[in-house]
Amino acid sequence: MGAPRSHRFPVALLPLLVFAGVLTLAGILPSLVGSLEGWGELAADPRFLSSFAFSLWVATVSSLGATIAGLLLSLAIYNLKGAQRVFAQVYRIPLILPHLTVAFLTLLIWTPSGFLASGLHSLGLLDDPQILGPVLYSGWGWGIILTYLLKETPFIMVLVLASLGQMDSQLVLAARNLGAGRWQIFRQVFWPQCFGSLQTGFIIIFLYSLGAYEVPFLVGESYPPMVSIQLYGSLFKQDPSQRAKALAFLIVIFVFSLVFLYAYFRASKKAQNQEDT
Amino acid sequence: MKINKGQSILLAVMVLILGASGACKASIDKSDVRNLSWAEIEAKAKGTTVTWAMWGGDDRINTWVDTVVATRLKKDYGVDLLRIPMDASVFVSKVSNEKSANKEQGSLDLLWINGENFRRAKSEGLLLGPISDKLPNMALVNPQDVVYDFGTLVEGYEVPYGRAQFVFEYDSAKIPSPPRNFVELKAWIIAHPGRFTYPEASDFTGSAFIRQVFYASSGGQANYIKPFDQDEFAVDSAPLWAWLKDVRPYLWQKGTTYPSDKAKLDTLFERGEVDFNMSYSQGGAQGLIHAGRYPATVRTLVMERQSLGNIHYTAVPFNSPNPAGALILANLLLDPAIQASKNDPLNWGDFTVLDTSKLKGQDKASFESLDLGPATLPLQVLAANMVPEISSSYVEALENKWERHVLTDSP
Repeated sequence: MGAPRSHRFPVALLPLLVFAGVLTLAGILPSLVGSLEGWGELAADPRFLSSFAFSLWVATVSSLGATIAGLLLSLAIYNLKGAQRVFAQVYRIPLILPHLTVAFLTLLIWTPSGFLASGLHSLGLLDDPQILGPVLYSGWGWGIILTYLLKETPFIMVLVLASLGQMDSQLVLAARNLGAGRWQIFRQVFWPQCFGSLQTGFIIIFLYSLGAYEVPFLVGESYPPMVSIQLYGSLFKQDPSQRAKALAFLIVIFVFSLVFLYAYFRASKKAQNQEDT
Repeated sequence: MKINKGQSILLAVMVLILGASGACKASIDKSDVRNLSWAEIEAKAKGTTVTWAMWGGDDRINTWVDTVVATRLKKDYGVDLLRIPMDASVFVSKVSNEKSANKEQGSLDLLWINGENFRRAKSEGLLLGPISDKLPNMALVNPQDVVYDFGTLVEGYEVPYGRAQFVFEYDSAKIPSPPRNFVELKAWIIAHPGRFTYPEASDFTGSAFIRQVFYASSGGQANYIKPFDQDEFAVDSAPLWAWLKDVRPYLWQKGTTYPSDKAKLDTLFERGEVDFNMSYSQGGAQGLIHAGRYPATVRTLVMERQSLGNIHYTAVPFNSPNPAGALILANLLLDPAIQASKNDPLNWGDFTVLDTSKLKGQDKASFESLDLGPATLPLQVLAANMVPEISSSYVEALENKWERHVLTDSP
């Protein structure tokens, strides 16, 4: 045999690589060419910068929030027994709903004429339903974040519960018998078991919420816009002079996503190595 | 199943070939439909499907197209109708991209278009034309009505479809004496915080609202027959931005956010979060009362001598795969029975572009017997307060500057 196995070119992956490579390049190259005049304007336009910063904020809060809530709720369900555990499966409902539907739910619940305001109002707990206005329209993207939390927390729970299911449940008993407290059991039994799924889930939610269109379209504010809304507006709704700038912005986001993935995996590998030693 | 090296390479090559073949041009019928007679166009269209890209934000319009229009098209011409909901600016960008990519065969046959989108489409050569001289039903239109579209010469590149006028909608049970002009409207907004808003300027209706404030705050339509000039525009538009910023803190959500399109303003109005809706359809409110979405006490109003009116059109993109079918549909839309059905508030309430004095018998009677309902203003009131649209170069400037001046405060 010639070269060591790991250095050989993975021929079996060739069809996939050609497929993915051709498609990606077919999108990126024309954008790169079209963006040439746009880079200077992009730097001078505060709208793009603020929309990028806003999207980072929304994506970070949504994915962190869903990951933490998903982990805590999974552990709670894991400790349930019998009928309670079966009943807890209702957590899966938002999983089967489309993002658009969940965004509508957010709208129905939180608008000043929505369920929450009218419910509280009829109970006499809320005088002025307009108080709820800022929940959706404060300029901080809470409508988008609430939607993603509702939709993605169960997604994390499915991943985490699946990896907890593979764990030998005797491990928890053993740890307890050896005198471990709750925190220690969490840190040394549950955490290493869930970490991989949390990581995968976090990245999927982060990159998705950074770029998705339909949720911000329904429950987002006029300003600042999420990057998807800003891009769609500049590419299709405004006059053609915005095009080069929008294509340049598209490339910034593409490069950012690559760098983010690379940095994230590097950091987590490092953390894993330290844990192992 | 295990795949060996040879099979993998074969698969990769196949992927490449498939990808490349997608980019190849299918055989295209290059013959120009404009050289055919009307009978030949009818014969050519028979059995085909025509794809119509149109704004899809109103259920009633969509239903009318899918039922009344589609049925007639199938029955009389054997043509199927496929409606694609798409904003006009979006399909113009799409066809523009296809043009720069030399895509000779597009996917859209007919576009519902006017104003700045028509100007862009015509100036970039995105439209097949002139076409309107081919259509028999154009004889029923007064040619003087369709010389200009927002200041752009039409020259037969689009076919008239409907006549719209801007009205405000309000519930007369809640507001017995509504504002009659933009000075009174401003006072009303300030006196009723949170009860008024308008769609973002990138929306068709929001843009029209801003144009009316522009007219009202700076000398009226007569002032803007002159060609667009950047410096003069900065001076002319200053009172407009002042008006919009003065009312901003008193708008819905204190003006920090705006409905992103008309459908969202409709929802706010129907749920009672705001007291005024606005519409570029003078007969639409009556239809919504019939449909049970508006209370029976909703009425419409126009601002004194500041109500925009325009004609909207259909056009055929240069790379339409079925131009014959597109012409058949554009002509059918001018059919007197179709125009009368469209004018009925039960269906849509969009006024006709036909010159009704040219109609006879049953056709004439169907317009005379139309019941426009109490929510629609009398025709004399509408006509007396109508002002023509501004040249489309102003429209683009107003939409772009609104975002800077009003939304983000960063002129």
